[in-house]
Amino acid sequence: MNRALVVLLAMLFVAAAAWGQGTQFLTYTPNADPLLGPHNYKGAGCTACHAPHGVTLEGSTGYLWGLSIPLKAYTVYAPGYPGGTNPLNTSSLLTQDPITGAYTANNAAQVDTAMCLSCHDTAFSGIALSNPNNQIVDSGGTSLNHNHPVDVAYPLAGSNVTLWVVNVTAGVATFKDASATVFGYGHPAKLFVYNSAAYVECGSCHNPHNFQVTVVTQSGGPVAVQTAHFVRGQYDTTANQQNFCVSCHADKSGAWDGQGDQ
Amino acid sequence: MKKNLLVVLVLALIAMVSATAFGQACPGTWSYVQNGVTGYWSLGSFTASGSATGCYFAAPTIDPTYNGVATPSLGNGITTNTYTWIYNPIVNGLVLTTSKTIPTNPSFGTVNVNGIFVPGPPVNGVTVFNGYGIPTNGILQPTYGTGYNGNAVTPMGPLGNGYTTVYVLNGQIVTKGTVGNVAVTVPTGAVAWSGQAYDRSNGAAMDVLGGHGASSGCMNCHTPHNSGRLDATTPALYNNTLGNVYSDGTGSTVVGNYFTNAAAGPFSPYAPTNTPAFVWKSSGYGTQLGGSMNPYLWNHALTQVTYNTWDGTASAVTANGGSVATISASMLISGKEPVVHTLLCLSCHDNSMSSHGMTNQSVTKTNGFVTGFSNGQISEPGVVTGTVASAGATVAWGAGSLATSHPVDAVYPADGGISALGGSYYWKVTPNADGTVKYADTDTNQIGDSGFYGHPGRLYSDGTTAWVECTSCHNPHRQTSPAWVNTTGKYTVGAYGTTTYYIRGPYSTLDGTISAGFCRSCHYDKSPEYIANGGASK
Repeated sequence: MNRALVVLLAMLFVAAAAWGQGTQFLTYTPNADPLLGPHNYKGAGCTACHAPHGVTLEGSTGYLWGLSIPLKAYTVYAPGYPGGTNPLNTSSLLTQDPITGAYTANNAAQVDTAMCLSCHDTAFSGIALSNPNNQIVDSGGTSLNHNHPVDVAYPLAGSNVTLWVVNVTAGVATFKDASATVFGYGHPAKLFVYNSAAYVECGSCHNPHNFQVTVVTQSGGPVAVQTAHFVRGQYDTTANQQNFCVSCHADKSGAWDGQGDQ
Repeated sequence: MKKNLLVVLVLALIAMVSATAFGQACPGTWSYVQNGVTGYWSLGSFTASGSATGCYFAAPTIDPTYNGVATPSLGNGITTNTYTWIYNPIVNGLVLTTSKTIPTNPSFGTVNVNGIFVPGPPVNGVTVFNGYGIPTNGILQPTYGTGYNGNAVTPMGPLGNGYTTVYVLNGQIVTKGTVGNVAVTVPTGAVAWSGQAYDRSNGAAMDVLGGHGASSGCMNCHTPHNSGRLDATTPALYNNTLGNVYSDGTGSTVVGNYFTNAAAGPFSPYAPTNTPAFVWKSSGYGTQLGGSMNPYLWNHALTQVTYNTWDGTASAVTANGGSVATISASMLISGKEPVVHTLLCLSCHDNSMSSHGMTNQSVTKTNGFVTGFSNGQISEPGVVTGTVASAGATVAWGAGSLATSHPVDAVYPADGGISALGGSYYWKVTPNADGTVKYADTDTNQIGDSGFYGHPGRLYSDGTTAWVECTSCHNPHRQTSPAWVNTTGKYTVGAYGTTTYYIRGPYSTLDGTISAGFCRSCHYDKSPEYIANGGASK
């Protein structure tokens, strides 16, 4: 009993020490990249997803993507979603370059979900993900219904009161409270713009480059914070896990004024 | 008589011992008849790291029905096991898919030991690549073998009968050349090297130039005297579309394609007899390149193709100020000098320009996905191959594309992207008037500094703007041992690890943190330093 207690205390001590190190844990360890985490697939680093040559997706919407993308239609969960959906059919997403044979993503927003499916649709990729929960496509291979809505429009300023106000300018979606002076946690989510509309995609909540630590804007300035699961915002305590959700869902936050002007 | 008998017995004993010591004698080719079709396989001898010996199947390259797509079930010691080859023979013009099983203890037919591929003994479970297969058109090609990584041969020039073993031991890349079917002894602890090797001939040691040395060393790219082939004429003479006009070097003009060898047809290699005048620059041009009429004493024709490039992520990172950029040699005439560090590479790496047959010389993605992609995929998974520039045979001159590669001739935001992108996406730099670009991050310029990677990438300045070109990432002179200017103004050579693909800094296809370090040496927002600095510019 005492031995078990000692082991438990030791584990807690180590965990606490690691937790308290902040950004200092960013030390080099071979094949254990501190930022990419499991996305450092097979030790390939950036080239696990990107290709410096021979990309599969061309152009500014292609991110030098180096992996194959499933070409099929997916259903998404969007019950009564105020902004409507952006039908997720990756087959119509792409146009082939007659010279290079690569593809260009026509839908600048949708591609930020489609790229994730290169791996996370295991029916397509055949990759055994380390965490089965990361298989986000249902067994039929075409349904994303059991996930938070993706490829759905985020209502823009003036069209909703339950979400934080977002404006689209020059192809970029920005929270009105971008400096986080109203909601101190900030608004780390990233919305993707297509045809002047803002969309929620996989990449809205997740930054595939930052596994456990990231930089966000909080209370007026940038700061490095702990996260998990590649979540774009601080995600280290129960309170911050909740804060990340309400950083979009204003009506669930204590800072909400109910007027749709924040 | 007894004495003679004793001599015979001793000789026989010696022969037996020798045979054991040198491994099992394996016939080079085994022929068989199955369903009325004669098939052939090449066989090689195998010596394991212990005393075990045997024969194994190499490739059915002698089989006249073999179409080059065999998928062997690899193994060794065929005298005690059964192996299956699945291959697609061509019979009466039809491609058939079938499998053939090698029976246990087969009887062998004609022996042909010429050019048999021999894998080395396994090291820590990995068989080290050490050979080439049957010569094809005078070039030895790699065939199948356990552990062959697909990267160990550069198909350029005549290679002769030698082959090279390349492995990594104690962090150093070791090259061993051999001749004939002799397995190379690899020390304990060595691991297979994943880079490219070039065997000049008869097992000569690999030069620091690697494949860029080809069979001519420096002269593969440069010329010591004024007979270089670099040509970027005035726009009026600068049009190499078939049927248009070019300078013939004597002051006259000729109708045709300057780069076309009339005897060999369109898109064939440069024809020396068509040597024109070398009009590299307009008056006053070339100061950053030493004022030379032929910068770098270049020994190849300069590409005359106009290439589309990748169009960048935002307005600050577009090449030449356009959302879809193009590059061409005409830019040199207008005084845009950084682009030469991309155009020269295309003398060879655009297959339509090259006489080297570079059909697979793009930098390939390694350690990517290898299985599972089937339905709906839009390209081959895993290793993506193809020429860096897609032009020539598939499209007409004047329309090439680099759109599937990382941006080249693209603006590198000197302020890191703050003004144009609203954030610190890149490390801050200062473009200098002498063509150099200096990183602002002087305190972490050295790899090995608390795990920071440094900035071995090289940017080019036109005096006011920093540019990314092919040689920003690649140093064509150093295939495996990177060298870069450090904070002392001198060079760091080969320290902190080896590289591959001529990348300018340490790079490992087996360690993602190292390889990502090179990318992060420009892409600041993806680096640990960005986190450590709380997102502040640097």
